[in-house]
Amino acid sequence: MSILRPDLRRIIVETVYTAGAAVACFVVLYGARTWIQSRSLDGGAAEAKRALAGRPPMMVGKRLAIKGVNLDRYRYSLFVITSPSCQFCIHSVPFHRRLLETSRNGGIPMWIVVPTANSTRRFLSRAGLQDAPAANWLDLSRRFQSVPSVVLVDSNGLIRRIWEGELRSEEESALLAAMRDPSSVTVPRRKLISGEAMLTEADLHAVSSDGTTVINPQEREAFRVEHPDGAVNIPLPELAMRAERDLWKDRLNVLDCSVLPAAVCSIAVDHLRKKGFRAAAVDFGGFGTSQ
Amino acid sequence: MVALSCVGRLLLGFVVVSLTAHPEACASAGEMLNVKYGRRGPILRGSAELFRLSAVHAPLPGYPNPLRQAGRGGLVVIELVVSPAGGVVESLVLESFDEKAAAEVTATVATWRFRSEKEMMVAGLSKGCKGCLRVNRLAFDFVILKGRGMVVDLAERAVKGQAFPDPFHKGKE
Repeated sequence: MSILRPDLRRIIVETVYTAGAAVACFVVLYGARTWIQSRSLDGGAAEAKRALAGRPPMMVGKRLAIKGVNLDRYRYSLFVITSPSCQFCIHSVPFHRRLLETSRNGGIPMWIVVPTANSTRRFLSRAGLQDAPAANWLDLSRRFQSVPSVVLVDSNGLIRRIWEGELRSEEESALLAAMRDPSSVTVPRRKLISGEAMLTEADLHAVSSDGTTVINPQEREAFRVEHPDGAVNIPLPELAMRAERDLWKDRLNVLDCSVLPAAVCSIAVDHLRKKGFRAAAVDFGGFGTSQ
Repeated sequence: MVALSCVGRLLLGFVVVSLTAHPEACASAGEMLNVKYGRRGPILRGSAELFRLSAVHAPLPGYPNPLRQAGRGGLVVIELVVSPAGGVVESLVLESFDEKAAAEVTATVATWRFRSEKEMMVAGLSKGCKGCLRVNRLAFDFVILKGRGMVVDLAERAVKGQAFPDPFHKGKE
């Protein structure tokens, strides 16, 4: 026997039904929106970006590899990272065409790197860039910060210079000039906050002795993917705790700052010195070999 | 649709939600806790020394007998998530030389208690991060000295080694 009056019961049931239907409609619409967003006509940019997220960042001095491209065949190579769904990339198309022409005249191969080559074929032909060889974002060994980006790489695969975003006309002129003489583009030497220069690989060979420890402060997963030969892995958040256990005070401890911003590197080196360790920072640029 | 019961309609909704949920919303099993919880909302990180100082109940893990007898020692690094109330929410072993040692550390740190959010705020350690989870790491060194197994809390040793000022006892002495 129900304690509710029949009309009240009917109202409650109808309210619950309507609320349920409203929730279902909301969920269906929200799901559809998410699905459309994830598969929008951006040439798979969103998915590619997610897949790239775990890769090391693209930085000057680092080694860039690109699947299917033999960089040592050319003295310099140029990569234009772009996307059909980015308005800055579309604005930059005329400049990219000029860049293609200039680099071709200078004997520098220029690759157009797009989210997925298939979905952006139309974009490339409309942009007049169909003659340039195309590669996929996912073929890059490093993630980039923004599109469009232009990356100049030498024959060792080391990144010499990165131009990010839609460039101003003077920046475009400077880039075109650099393409006429790419050897004039130099890799700047990184410094700590104190102004102390980070060691280079050559400096390290000169100062290191048998007991020198090279500390790679990456997380374990990243260390497994790539690290300099002979480096020990102490992730940065553990360095203060583990220094006493894993490092020698009377030997040189060199922190690999290739993977750290200069400010963070400075703090870490200072911390080790305050604890009585002989410490220095090194920037390897591209790694010698990796596992 | 009319024939569908209310429960059926809601179930449909849940099915749609589960099918359309963004893949990034689910953390993979091996994901580090700072990444997993960092995605859900703001978290409080900071130095391991300060984190260790904020522990109020921190018994050391025991040295598992089989390991002591075998003369095995090494390092266990664990990542902890601490609730605003000071309890351990979750832990993840990042590195260990042996499963038994890792299990011992996991079981022990689950009983650890940390300062509450209010105490952290009074000490000036969690300004502007109300209701934040704290994520940090601890490292335990299992060493055998003269046949006796000893576990060293490396964060605690780092605190003692550099006479770290205790922010929770400022001006109380």
